[in-house]
Amino acid sequence: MQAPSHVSYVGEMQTMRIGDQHGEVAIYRVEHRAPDMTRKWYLAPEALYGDSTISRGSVSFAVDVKRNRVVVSENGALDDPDVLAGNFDLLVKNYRAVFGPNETFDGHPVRVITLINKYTGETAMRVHVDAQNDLVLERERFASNGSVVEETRFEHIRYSNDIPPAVFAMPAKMDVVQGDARTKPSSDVNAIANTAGFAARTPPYLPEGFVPVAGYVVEINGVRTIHLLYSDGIRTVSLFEDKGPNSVDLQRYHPTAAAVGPDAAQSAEQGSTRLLVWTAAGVHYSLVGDLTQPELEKIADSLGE
Amino acid sequence: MTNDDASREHPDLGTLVDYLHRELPPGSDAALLAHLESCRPCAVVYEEQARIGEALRMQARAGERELPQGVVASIWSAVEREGSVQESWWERLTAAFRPVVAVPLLVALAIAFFYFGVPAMHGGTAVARTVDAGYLLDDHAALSSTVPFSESAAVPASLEQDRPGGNQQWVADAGAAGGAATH
Repeated sequence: MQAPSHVSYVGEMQTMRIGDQHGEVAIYRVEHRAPDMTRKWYLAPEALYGDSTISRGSVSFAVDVKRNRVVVSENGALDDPDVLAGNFDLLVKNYRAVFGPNETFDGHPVRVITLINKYTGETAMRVHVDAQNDLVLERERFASNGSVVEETRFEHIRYSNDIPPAVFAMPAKMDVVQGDARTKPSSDVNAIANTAGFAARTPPYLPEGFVPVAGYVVEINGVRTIHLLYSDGIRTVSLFEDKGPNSVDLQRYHPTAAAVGPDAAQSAEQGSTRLLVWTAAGVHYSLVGDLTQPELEKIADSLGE
Repeated sequence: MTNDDASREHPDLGTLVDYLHRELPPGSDAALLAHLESCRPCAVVYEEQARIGEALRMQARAGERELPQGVVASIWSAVEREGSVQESWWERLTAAFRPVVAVPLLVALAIAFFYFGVPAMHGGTAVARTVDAGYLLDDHAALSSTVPFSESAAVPASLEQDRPGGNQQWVADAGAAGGAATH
């Protein structure tokens, strides 16, 4: 959940993301100092115990105690308030919001808002929002069959304006490693596709309500790759395309065989996020998103039309 | 439905939401406006939808993050300062020309030139490399962070991978073809 810019707090959070084959759970203590400094201390999974992440605006530091390093990353997408506002309008356009009866969450009065997909009539998400400061205290996302695919909730929360800035300082005496430095994306997806340097394609089919929202070009291992993001305001799907010698290694995610038209493909999942990877006419494609496998395959098939 | 019909009949919820978002054609829009001015029950439903939308908008605004001025520049200048304290550029340059470093370096360069500098001799094919799928997941999560209620992976890949990042170079401007640049 995005950290709010107007309220400071300390709490413990649980995040659970459920896929068809695998689930992913994390528990962390979180300290947020408004407007934009957040530190998460991981308590679970065990492999991450003692590690933490610090974010200050669009810059984040992953403090990896076991490897004695700090990975510095930047996400330019967070620098663009116009993109954030535009995507919110998309959510309101595609989802009908309904207030439920007021409830209490961990001692805090909350408003319960259910978001219903206008096209399918299915409940996509339910959020519990603190009635006094609009902080989301719990969020559940549902699959089309009504099962929970993602839940994020505070276990305990305490509002505080006395969190010392030193909590968000980069630790000393650790190796500083440069991670990803993502540029500010463009909202003109067609223009991005035209700068790929090869015949990049955009999908003729997208699930109802989905539109292109952002994209950029990146060179991975020296290979020009385009990344286009599509969304309906809640769900998202990314399309990566490149025409080079790179191949995607899915082994860590236990891939299974799939097909896109006549081409062999591989699919995998991490929590509720699915990947579909294939090559057609010399172009490598990867779809990554919170959609069902049939939806991903339908998008993939349309790229070959 | 004609405009007159629209002003008499009660619109369904979907039509009211479309009206709220200015998605109705001009004639229907005007007819619905006239209906809302004369029908209190519909006006109440309309106002509730507007109130819900505004509440969500407030939540989304509350979740926006702002970038403090100069934070990126100050971080990198701090990193560079730390590096410069440890070893001056002259010390690094002279160290590079010590025989124990220079000889293996020249041998490696000669081998690299022999294999990669004369593509016709070796077919000129590019070397196949793999990209960890974790990089794609991270990149998807980063770009999705502009979407309200988005959630990055529960466990950040940078804490899971031995080698962070994806050997990537960011193209500063999508319009500048070939203009790859790192920060």
